[in-house]
Amino acid sequence: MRTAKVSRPKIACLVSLTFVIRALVFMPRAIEGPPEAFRSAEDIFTDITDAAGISWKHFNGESEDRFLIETSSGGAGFLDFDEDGLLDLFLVNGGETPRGKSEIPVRHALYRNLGNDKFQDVAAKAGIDSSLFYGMGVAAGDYDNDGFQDLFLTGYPSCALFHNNKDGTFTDVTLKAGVQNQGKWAASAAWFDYDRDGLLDLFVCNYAELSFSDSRRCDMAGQRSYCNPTAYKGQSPTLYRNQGDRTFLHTTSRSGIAKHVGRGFGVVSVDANDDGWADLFVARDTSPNLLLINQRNGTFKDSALDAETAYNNDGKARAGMGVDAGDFNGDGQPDFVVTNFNDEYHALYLNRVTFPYAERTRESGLAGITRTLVGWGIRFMDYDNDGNLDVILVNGHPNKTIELTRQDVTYKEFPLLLANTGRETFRNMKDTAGPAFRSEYAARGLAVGDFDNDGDTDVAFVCLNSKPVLLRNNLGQDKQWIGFQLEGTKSNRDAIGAKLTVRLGERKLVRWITGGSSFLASHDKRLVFGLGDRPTLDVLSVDIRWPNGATQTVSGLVPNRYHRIVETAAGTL
Amino acid sequence: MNLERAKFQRTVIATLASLVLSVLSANALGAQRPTEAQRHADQAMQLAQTGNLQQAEIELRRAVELAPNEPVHLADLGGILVMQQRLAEANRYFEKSLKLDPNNIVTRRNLAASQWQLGDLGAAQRNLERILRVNPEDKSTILLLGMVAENLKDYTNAAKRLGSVLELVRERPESTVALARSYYHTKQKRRAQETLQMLQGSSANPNGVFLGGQVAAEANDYETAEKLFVSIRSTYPDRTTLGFNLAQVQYQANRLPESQKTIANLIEAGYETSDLYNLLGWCYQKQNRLKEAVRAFDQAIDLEPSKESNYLDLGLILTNSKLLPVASAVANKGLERIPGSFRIYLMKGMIETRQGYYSDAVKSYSRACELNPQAPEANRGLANAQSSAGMNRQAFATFERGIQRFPQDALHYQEYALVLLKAADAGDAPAETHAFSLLETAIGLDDSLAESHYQLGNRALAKGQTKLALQHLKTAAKLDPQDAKLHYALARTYRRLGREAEASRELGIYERLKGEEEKSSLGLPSAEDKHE
Repeated sequence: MRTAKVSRPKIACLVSLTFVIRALVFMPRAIEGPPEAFRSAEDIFTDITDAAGISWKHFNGESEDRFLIETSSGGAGFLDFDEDGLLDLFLVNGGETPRGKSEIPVRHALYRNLGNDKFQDVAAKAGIDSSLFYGMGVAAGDYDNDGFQDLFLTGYPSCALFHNNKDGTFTDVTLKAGVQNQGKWAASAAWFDYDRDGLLDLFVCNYAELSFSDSRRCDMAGQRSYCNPTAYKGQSPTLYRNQGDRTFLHTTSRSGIAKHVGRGFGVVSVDANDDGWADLFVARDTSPNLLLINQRNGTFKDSALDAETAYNNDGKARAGMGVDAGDFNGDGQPDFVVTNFNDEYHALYLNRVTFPYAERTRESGLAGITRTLVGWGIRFMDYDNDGNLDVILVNGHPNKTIELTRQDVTYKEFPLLLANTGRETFRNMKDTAGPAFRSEYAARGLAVGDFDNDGDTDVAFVCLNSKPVLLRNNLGQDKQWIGFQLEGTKSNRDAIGAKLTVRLGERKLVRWITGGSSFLASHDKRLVFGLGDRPTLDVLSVDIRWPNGATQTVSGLVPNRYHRIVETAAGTL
Repeated sequence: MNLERAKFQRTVIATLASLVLSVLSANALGAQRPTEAQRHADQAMQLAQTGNLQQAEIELRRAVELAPNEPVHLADLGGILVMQQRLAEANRYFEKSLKLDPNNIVTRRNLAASQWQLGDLGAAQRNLERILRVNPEDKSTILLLGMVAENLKDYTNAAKRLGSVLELVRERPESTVALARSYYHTKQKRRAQETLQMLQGSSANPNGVFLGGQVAAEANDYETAEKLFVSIRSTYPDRTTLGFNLAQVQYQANRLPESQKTIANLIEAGYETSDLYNLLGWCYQKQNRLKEAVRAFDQAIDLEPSKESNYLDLGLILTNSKLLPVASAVANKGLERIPGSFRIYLMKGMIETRQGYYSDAVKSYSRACELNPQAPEANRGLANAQSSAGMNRQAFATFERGIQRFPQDALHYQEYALVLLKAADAGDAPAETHAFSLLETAIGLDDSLAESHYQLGNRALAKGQTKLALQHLKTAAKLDPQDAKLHYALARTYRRLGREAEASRELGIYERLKGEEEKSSLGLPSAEDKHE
């Protein structure tokens, strides 16, 4: 993707592996909390859905049969499909069920970013508005390294891979590629390069055995309701290895992943143990979460028990819907957040390098904030560019009848913008985040990306049977920032799996280009580093560890713009 | 059992009467020279022997009037009153006699026997021990003292006493049964069985044998119980009761087809009772034949619609089978018939909680509390339902009231603590301190509370106090080894301590128990199982 404000540093400044220019301005070690008064009187986020021209509506096929899939669809993805430098937005629709029919055709949407906060649905023209299955999520990735984002759609009872034809259209290459994932109910998916061959492989979370001819009868408060997930047998995830010829090999069994049968919902790929190889954290619903550590030989080993991320402290598997990874406490290690059910609390795990991870759900305040909420999409993002990673997440209960049995839990629930205080705690920014954060939704998939290229992260989320919500960030641009768009050459072109470190005096900010993340979603692959409120910043440098292990330092980078960095041939392994 | 106890008491009184008669005869024979008082006493004996107790009493009262300081007449009058089952009155005369003749063993023994009959076991014991101090070989006294000890649940003493007068015990089925019970309680099962075998002699008393069977059943010696019941099949007068007891021990011994057959035979013979169908229901339930179980319970209910236990048992089975809507219907049906049943309201509340209908559960538990304010479980159920419904303030108040009303109920402290810990998770730090203080109190009242030990162990682990954590968690796991989460917590603790082998072992146990839990939860849609 070409960015509009890319600076092209001269070669003399850029390619200096032995000489790194340090930032000339010293930064304080930690930024303590967001400022109480903002420069702008605006809310942090503005809902521009209608103004942007987004009129698409999700359809879940809700029916008296109460198929569980009706509760959990609605994926979203930010991608620049036409490489015009502006992030576009793909929205995944659900589908019909035997007795849940739609009056109009159920279509996905591909909203092309026209600039100036305007979007236009071109899905039909692009040939990507429909699929032959009930849709769930999306994963955007350049699997053939041709410079254009392709799309993998998940769903039931199969998935689809759409190859970007580079002319604004897509072609369904599912069968040819061998990634149909037939017979499965697939949820989130993640592109990542697990064997470091420079090609994006594909991990698919599969949820449960489902059949539209077998509806389960469950009741709540005397009314037909959705059954507990434990009424459905789980499935093993799917792993496809990219063979480099636009086909994939099903390597689930040989990778050691096939035995992990359970109800998988969300996945994020990140190098959890900092050995340079991509690992996977899989959030699962009433099944133990997985922490699949790459053994560097094509196989994975689940270390969730050792990490104490599989279960809660009572040894119970929580609901596990969405997941993300990011350096929450600034120690250079990827930490994890997972959304769960009401009374379970959304969880925060701090990566201590050695096992176990430290669960800080209570201590961080996350428990108190999320006790009555059922969470779905979740993402680390520095909404105010103060250098601390915050969290945004969306919620919504699966059963409308919940309000008949509980006084404190509702069907539609508030999204949350949780500011990182810098002391390993969160602060709920409800009052200043914007009206969207004081409204209630049946929200599911959440994606983030800087669609207006102003250096702060914007947000989109899908709501069941309703219009999505597109939020423009008004705040982050007010602080210093620096953005990166990486292009792999030996590594996968999207650079998924890359680790970036920006030094600010004594402090270092570490970020990863992750695969997957959140729930049913795909995100802007650029990284924005918030640099806080500083009087003057001269130039910065960034250390990059590319997905194939090579390292590279780039210096002389000017803040408040995106920098496109291409992996050099001379990078050190 | 009450019926049997009454029969037993009548037998004892008859025994006492025969003792008294023998005394009266002895006194008559022992008279040196007939006085007027003595003549009335002699007359009383003759009348007593012909069964004219009222007239005998009049004669003895006259004798006592004429010779008020004659202990014999006072004792004889006591004896006549015993024969008329006027034990308290008899005791006054025995005591008067003993004041005049304190060393009279017979009178003292009669007094003790009467006191034992009245349940004044302490006084009976004192009198009998006094006799033995003077006459340590007095077998009748030893026998009676053994019976008193058994009633006082001093089984060691009872076994010793009764075991030393076997010839007397053998003659009295009630004493045989008492000795057997004492042996069971002192873990001398073989001796108990041998003792009960004595009941099956040629002069077996079917009532005594029946009692023996009940004692064996109480002690979970079902095989012996069954043998005894079967031995009196043709002689025991109450076929239904015998059949029911037989079927019950067969059920408890897990011989379900035999139990079913016993019940079926009785039903075929026309001896249909609600209790029989109830037991049949349990037989089917144990064999996972749920439909037949439900049918049997329905029949039990039809036969005795106001019997609370049938609704409770059926409700429990349906709840455990996760058929919560049906269980709820049973509870409602029970309440139509027995609107004042606090136990059925309790069950209804429990079912509604399992279904996640917390608001309804609050109502049911509230009603249970109204019907029986002295039931701590109703108060606890209410508080927990309020907490689950998000009514935290009300839940705390209900628990506080409960602690005041039931200060010795350890579970109140424990469950209150658990609710406070949820509040603590949400950021209420004082709630956590309060919770752990309550848990300490709970353990102080009842050290067998695995959950309290578990929570204290988990807290210690969170604070890095691994040795204290291990202590609590090991205690918890010992108390409730089937609870998977305890082993998970132990695994975490051992890992922290670097004891990897033990950590792996505990994790293995955790995974096995978890697997068993999950297997039993599959198969039925479980929307109501922790579902919201």
